[in-house]
Amino acid sequence: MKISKVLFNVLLTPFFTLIFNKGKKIVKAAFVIILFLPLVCFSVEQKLDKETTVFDQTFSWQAMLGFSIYSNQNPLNGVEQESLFDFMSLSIMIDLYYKGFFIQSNHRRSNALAQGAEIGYQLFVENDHSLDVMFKTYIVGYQPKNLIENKNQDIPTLSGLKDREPAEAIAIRYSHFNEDTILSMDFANLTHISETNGWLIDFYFNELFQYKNWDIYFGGGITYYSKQVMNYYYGVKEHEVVIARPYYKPSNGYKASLEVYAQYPISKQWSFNTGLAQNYYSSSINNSPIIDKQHTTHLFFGVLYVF
Amino acid sequence: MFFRSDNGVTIQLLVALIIALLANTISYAQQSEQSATLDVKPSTCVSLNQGRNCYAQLSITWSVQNIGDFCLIQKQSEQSQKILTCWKKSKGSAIYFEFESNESITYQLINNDKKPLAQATIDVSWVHKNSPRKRRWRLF
Repeated sequence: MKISKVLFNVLLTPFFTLIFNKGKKIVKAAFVIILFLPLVCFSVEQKLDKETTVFDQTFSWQAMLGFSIYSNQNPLNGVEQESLFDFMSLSIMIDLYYKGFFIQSNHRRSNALAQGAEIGYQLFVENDHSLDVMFKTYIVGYQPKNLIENKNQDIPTLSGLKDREPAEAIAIRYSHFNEDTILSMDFANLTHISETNGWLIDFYFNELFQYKNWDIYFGGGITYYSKQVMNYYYGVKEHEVVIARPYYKPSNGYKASLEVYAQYPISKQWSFNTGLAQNYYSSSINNSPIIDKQHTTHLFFGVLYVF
Repeated sequence: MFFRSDNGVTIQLLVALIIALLANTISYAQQSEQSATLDVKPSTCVSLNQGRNCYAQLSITWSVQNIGDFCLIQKQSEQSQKILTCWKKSKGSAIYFEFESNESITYQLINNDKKPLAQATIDVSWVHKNSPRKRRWRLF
């Protein structure tokens, strides 16, 4: 019980640090934390027995190293993969689980730590559904200056544009499980956590098909962004207006995706993985002067090493 | 000293003959055991996740020194053994089949007396251990 509380504090430390660094929003942020605290503490008290009855273990960890070669279309106008290193990725993935607390990285993404890592607590879990509260980066953000430097050529639509910081959020996730399928819904609140206010809702469906030793996953999802989120990432503010980049204030928007991912074991430590994803962006995103692709395709081949 | 023509000597001779025959039989059996070989390829089958069935094209080859009747049996943990196939008047053969199991399996070559002559195991292992969290991840 004491260990749970210690871990609880350790896991919540990044939240506090992040939020209190924001300075101006201390009072509001503290209110958010206070709102979550009773809920999390209550679940710590109530669900420990459930954890041990559902699973054989109360603690688990996994560390992986991934290397992949990928083709990644960027919807931003003029941004493309340029050098050989832009097509390669090396990433470390760490998963920890202790009595409901979890840190999990995105096993599919090459930039797993930058986007997709989730820190949270499992509020309740049953065989066919669960509810989590967590902290996650939903949009990776970008620095126009770095993108232009990487290209060694000016990108008029990005030149002079202010950095778009990552969309970090506290989210509630509901997941429903069947034998080989998962349906999850995230409601994420960016207010007080990120540079922008607003919220997003993320639906995701994934089904596993097994063929011999292959795991083949088919998935699809849709992420709905609020006006404030859209305006921060895809809008052009008055002070950012230039000839190539007119003023733009978008309404709500969404991104839809379809994907297939396959994994095959090579040895006890190594596995091969490959994935293909197609994203579609709503008109309110596509109409932005800084965006020039409504569809993007992503493809990768890689290997994973499990420690 | 065994070739005297009285009853005592005859009995001694018979006993010696029996001992010699027995010794020969034991020696033959030991020789058979020692010379029997059983080879399973691959020796390891790796699945992606703990508890999942692992699939492999398995080849089992065996050979013994002397012709006889033999069977190949499959031994799984806490299960009765199962005869896969038998050969008559053979001193070696091979079988190929699709292996499918979520646990290690031992194969044994036995003779007519159901005595194991040789054995080999295919180990089933996995890349990812079971996780207490059910989770899927978006690609991009």
